[in-house]
Amino acid sequence: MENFLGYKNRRWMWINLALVVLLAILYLFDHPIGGRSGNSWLGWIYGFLAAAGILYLMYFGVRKRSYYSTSGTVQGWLAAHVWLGVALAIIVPLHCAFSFGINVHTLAYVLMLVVILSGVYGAVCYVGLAPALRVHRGGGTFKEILNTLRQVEREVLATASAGGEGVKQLLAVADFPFEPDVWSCRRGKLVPEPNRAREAEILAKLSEQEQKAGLQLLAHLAKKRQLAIQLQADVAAVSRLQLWLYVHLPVSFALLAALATHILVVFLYR
Amino acid sequence: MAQTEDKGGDSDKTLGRLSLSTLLPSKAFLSIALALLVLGLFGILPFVSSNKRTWATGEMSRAHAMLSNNCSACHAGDFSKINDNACMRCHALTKHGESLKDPHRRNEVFKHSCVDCHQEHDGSEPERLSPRESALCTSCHASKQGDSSLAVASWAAHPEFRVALPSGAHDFQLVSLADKGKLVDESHIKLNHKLHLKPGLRGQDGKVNLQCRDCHVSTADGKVMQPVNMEKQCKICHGLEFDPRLPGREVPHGSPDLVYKFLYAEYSKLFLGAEEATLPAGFERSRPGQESRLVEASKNAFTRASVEDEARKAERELFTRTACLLCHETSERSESPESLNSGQISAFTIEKPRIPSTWMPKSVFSHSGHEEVMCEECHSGVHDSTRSSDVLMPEKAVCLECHRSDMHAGSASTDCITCHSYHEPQGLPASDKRRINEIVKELRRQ
Repeated sequence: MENFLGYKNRRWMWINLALVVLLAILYLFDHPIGGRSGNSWLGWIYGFLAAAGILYLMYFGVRKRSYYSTSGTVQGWLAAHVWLGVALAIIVPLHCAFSFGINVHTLAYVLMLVVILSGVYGAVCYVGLAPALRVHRGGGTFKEILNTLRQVEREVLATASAGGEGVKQLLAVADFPFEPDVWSCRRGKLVPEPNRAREAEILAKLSEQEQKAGLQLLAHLAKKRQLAIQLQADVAAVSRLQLWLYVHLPVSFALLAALATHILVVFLYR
Repeated sequence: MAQTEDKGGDSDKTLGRLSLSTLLPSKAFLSIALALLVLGLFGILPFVSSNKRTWATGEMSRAHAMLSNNCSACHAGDFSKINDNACMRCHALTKHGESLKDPHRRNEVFKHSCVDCHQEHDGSEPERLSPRESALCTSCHASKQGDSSLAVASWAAHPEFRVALPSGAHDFQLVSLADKGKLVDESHIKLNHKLHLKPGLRGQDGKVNLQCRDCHVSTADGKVMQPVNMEKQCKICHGLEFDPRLPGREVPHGSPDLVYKFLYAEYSKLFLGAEEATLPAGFERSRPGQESRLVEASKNAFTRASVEDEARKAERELFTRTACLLCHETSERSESPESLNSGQISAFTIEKPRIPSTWMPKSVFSHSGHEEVMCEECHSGVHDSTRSSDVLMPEKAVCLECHRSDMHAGSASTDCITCHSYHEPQGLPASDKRRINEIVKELRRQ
């Protein structure tokens, strides 16, 4: 199946793989005076590439909102964004010659790794979940599902209040409260398993007239249950598609701050 | 109707709880907050406080570890780079001080500062503060730099070694070991290595088999050989006795004039001032047809001329046949005997020896690292050398036996600084030495 990662025959994957391999080979053949470091010629080149790469990746946030832009497709930009991001995880250690410490310079790399890992997680979520979500939701938005569900709830209550004591007893057993939020949906278990045996037991005791109303009630509740499960799954899925961005984006700005400090300190003290 | 509106409001509230954007702070807020936090903690805080360790790219080298918490010891202020003055505040007072003023370090061509080679805060190798790579040298020395330097692009391209041979009265001249025609050690000392290494030589207490180390003694640090010393080494066998009638009496190993004055004094003492009982055997006996000298002496018949005559005879023997001539190049003065006698100066002169004390002054060699190797492995030809003019220093090919980069294992190093030193360490004069607490106080003050 074609997704954004495989955009145009994985063009961006191959370009970035080639870049990383080329830089790694250069690294192995480079023996600067004083040993490899960010302060060698090649170290400087890697550093410049990495910094330019980070700025380019952050520009994606602008590009994806530029709906009238003609510079490539958003899909193409996204593919480049993901693969260049992954490549940076390797280019930066080449820049510093794998020397890390407890300082603002390594902090920038750690923040970058957090951004990259959250981004990879997000990409995996999109590739895995987005197609499934389209099928699952059947085109309905949360609001539509929720409105339908509330409508069903009102029908449940109307049926129950029209019915006798037996129907109300059935309602108490078969109905469940549904007050979802993102976190409870992610945890699941918002919709309890129906107690079929108890329902059948109560139904059996009812009169024929009430049994009819009872069965109608149960039908409404089954509809509510189905809508609730669908909403819970959809909310959970959509949150997975959104939550990683709350890491990816703020940490990328933190990275920008650390990167600026790194560059300033390194250049001023050089 | 009202109920429906309530439900709708409740529905909206629930709908809001299904969206992360209403449950979490906005991504823009989080982004700005986190960026400011990082900027504050790692950019602003170190700037305003004295602790800037999070800015350091690595640990200090071990040599400078005591300055780890003392940025201002080297950095004059925020964002200040290190200038040489900061280094010299301490290093002018150490053994490197004088050598750092060496013209080579501060000439027109070479204008680098200390930190160009010595980079701090590189935690990868805390043991050393400067690169060992030969490229640091060859980046300039691949081509000729100055009059006395040679172009050396690599160890493989290193030219044959040069030895410092005496040239003229005071100078030394660097002569390549490949330049066999010029390779003559004019040290004005006669020494036959082949003869000295012959087994069963007549020594002080019977026969001896001399070893190299009997004459060539290394310095206390084992690095180089001390100059061969007449008093310590040669004299054990080569005594300076001057008269067989005075066994055990030796002239001093000094200038010809000193030798003559010593002889004059000895014979004066002997013939003019000595008591009968102290006269050594030989002088007591009268020779056939002659009166005893003692008798003459006692008659006070010896004149100053007689003493001079004895001293001159002994002197001539020493300078033209025995002790001196064995090692030295001697020549006779042209002055008349009268002027020599009146001035009490020697009738002979000695060509001043000029034995090279440092054969390869451009390199630093340590014998102590090569102890396992037999002397003649490097100083080949010593067993066949009959003249002191032979130069017995090892050629590059000898070093190449071990010091080669193409060997897979066991290869000795071939970096420039294996043999060449950059800053020659020099001893600090005693007047510059200080008390420990003064040094510590100064370090803390910085």
